[in-house]
Amino acid sequence: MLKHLAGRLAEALVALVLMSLVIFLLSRVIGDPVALLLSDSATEADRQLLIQQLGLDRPMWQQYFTFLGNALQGDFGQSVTAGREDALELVLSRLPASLSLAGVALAFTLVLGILLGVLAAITRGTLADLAVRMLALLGQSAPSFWLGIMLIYVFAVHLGWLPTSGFGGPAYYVLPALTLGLFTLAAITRLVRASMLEALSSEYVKLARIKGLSEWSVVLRHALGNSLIPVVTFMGTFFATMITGAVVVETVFAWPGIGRLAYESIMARDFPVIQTVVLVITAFFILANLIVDLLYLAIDPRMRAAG
Amino acid sequence: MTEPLLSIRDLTVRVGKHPEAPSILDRVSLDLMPGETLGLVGESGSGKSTLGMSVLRLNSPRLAAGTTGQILWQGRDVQKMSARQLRRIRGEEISMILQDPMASLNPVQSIGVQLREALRRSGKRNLSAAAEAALAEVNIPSPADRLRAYPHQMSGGMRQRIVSAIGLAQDPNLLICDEPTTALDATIQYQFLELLAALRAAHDMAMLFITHDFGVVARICDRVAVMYAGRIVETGPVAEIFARPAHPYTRALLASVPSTRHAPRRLPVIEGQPPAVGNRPRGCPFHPRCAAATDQCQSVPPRAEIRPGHVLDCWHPQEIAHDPA
Amino acid sequence: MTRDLSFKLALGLLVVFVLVALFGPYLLEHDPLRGSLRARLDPPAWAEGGSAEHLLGTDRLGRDVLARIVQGARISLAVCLVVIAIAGSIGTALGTFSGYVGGWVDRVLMRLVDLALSLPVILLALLFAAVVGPSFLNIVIVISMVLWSQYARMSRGETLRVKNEDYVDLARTSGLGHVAIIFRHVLPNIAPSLIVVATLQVGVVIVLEASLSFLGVGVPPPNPSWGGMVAEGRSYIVTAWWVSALPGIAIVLVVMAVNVVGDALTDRINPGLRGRGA
Repeated sequence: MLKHLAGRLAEALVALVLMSLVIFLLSRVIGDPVALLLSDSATEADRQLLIQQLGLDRPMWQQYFTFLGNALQGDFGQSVTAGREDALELVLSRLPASLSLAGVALAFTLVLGILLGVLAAITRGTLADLAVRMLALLGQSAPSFWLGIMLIYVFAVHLGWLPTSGFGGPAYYVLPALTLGLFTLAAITRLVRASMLEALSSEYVKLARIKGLSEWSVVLRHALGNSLIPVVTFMGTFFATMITGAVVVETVFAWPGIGRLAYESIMARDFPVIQTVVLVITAFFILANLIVDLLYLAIDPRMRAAG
Repeated sequence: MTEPLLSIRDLTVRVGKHPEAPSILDRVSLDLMPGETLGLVGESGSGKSTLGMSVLRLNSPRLAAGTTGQILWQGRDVQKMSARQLRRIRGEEISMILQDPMASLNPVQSIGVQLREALRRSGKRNLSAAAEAALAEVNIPSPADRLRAYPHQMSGGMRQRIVSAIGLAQDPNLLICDEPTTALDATIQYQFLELLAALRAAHDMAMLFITHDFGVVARICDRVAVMYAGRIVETGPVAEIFARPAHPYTRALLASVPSTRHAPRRLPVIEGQPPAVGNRPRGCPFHPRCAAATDQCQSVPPRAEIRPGHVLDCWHPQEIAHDPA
Repeated sequence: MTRDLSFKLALGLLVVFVLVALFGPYLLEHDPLRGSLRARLDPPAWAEGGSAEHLLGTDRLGRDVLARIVQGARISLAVCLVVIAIAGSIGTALGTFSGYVGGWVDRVLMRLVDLALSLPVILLALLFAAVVGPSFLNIVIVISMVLWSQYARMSRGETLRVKNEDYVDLARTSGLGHVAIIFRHVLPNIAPSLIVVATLQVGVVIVLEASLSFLGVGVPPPNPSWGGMVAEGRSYIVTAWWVSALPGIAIVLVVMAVNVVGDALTDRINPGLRGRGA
């Protein structure tokens, strides 16, 4: 098992390095950092000086290793916008807002998704099942940017119950978390329903019934545990969906997180910040997948034995 | 005369509630006496597993909705029991061993948890000791360690013994075995049958043994009922059926079992396939494949007791004794 | 029974979507790109102040929302078709090759696929789109970059399954070349699973394209992409909800229909995929 984890860790590092390479190439080959940094009135001499300062006259591979070396020491350069803030500090300062939003969204999504999935499975074929399935279908089909706008229109503009956007107390979390989580909620609901149905028709559930256990014990003690395994398997994917969604959702709700920072820096072609944001997000991505691996070990005894 | 422990009367199981829906079981009747072992023999798809499931009401909701007839357990109709009454029967009075030992244990729970869950219901005091004793009874070496193990860490034969330990944990009066040896290796099959026979004696219980294998029947059963396409076509004491099989289907089945001493040297093959559910012929279900069939077989054959305890549904009973050579 | 009904409804909706995308623009009198300044932000026909002139109202430049949604359908369909063609052929080629050849080539390629699946691709897509600028071609390339790996994984797994079948062995022993085996025996047999992937991806492509257009790096204005229309209407959500709401409803309907059809196909063709649509 340790070997497996070590393998995953090595894979994660390769992913990080690869990602840094991709970003580096994109920013150097396609974007022109010099043009971004210089004002319109700069002369050709200014230009050459800057190129030298930034080391852009050296071969590409040298530049990449300098970039990598600096990054390893926590130096990602400075934002090219007026503030000229340290890129890493900027990204880290935006992290708590994103993590808290994603955390809230993931928590409500998991709880509600498992609840709805189990409900639909044990009431299979009834109206309740149909309603849950319709909700799941809607949740998987509505793009988050549109959903967010509609939620703002109904609950903030029309009914005035919740703030339209921005960062603040618990009320500010409701709409963004809902928007961010709906797709995943739908996915978890469907997954739990399907795996619960499979578990309920399994032989071990039959054996539990033969023992004379109550329907509640059968569902909670035997079927549920097994039907959660696929949810754990897909946790990494769910987290990825949340990160992806954060770019859009944070933009719609003016949420001061790294998703919106990523969007803004990309729009402003602020490459030092872009590089940092993307690498930090990739690191989180990989971390999440490692946690999922560990969770998997905890829930499924079969995995503990397997290499 | 003693009352039967289990008495099934005209049990019909259809796929859904509709009266015209295809039937898996068609007016099946049988009796099981206390302490008796009845073999239920048939090819796959004959409905024998559905019959076993029906006794504990374990069929899917669709089949449950299409179930008519009576299943009397010690005189009480299982079909009419409340959920609570049914739960008291399950495990405590009737238990069951399922076909696939690989699938019938919960993969995410240890053996101990699953075994104690059954033992707890029987009101045992010292659960750990009882669990160890239960594993020891089914010949599991070092039971204390095995209680902490998970199903995937064990062989098929060991798992099936654990499933039987769970089945017997509440000391039932009837154990239904649904092809418990089919998924096991040939050598382990024999061991497991010996174990079951010993357990039956120790627990003084009746058994309903579902199988497709007449060799297994010869080893463990007192009486045998032969099923074909959802009907019981012939019933009788094992020795009687082996010596004088009267239904053409029983004869064909017996003839195709090379492992029994009773098998003839030449293996006649039954032509054709058993009919699918919903596509079963009128009258005697076997007539399209039967060498002795006539036009008469288009209508439901009469039921007759041709010798004591030997009951047959057939228009053309085969009179000549089965050649034991 | 409800399952069958919803499948038929969804299929019907998809047919309508395709027909609208193909022929709709020729049937409408309004030009989706030209507006009338006198008819700015007119509400839909059924709302107060609406008229039959603009059934679904107009946007901030007085352009007919219905005409733009119809034109948008054409753009969505075009993006879907091109992306699935590009991502599908690249992914299938790599996956089939990988599965057929096996060995270290397979291991390396599949690691690459794992990596591609484990990167936050939307960011890459956004980055790429921002750098090269919004255009139809770019958005198609970006989305294809994101989606090829799923075809690769599926076709590789299916090739592994198929290549050990008896008929492939038979073909091999009868002296058929590798390329011929792949084209004549492997591809036709893995096609159903790939069709399932493609169907399930239609929804993903539509939402991705709309999201990128919403963020301003997709199909460039004034072309009416559904995502772009939602973005444009966002500023007027308080006074003119229809400008954002209606194109969004179009997205939801089409994606929903695709998902229903995709699920039904999954059940029929490859039940092993069930529940993997996350």
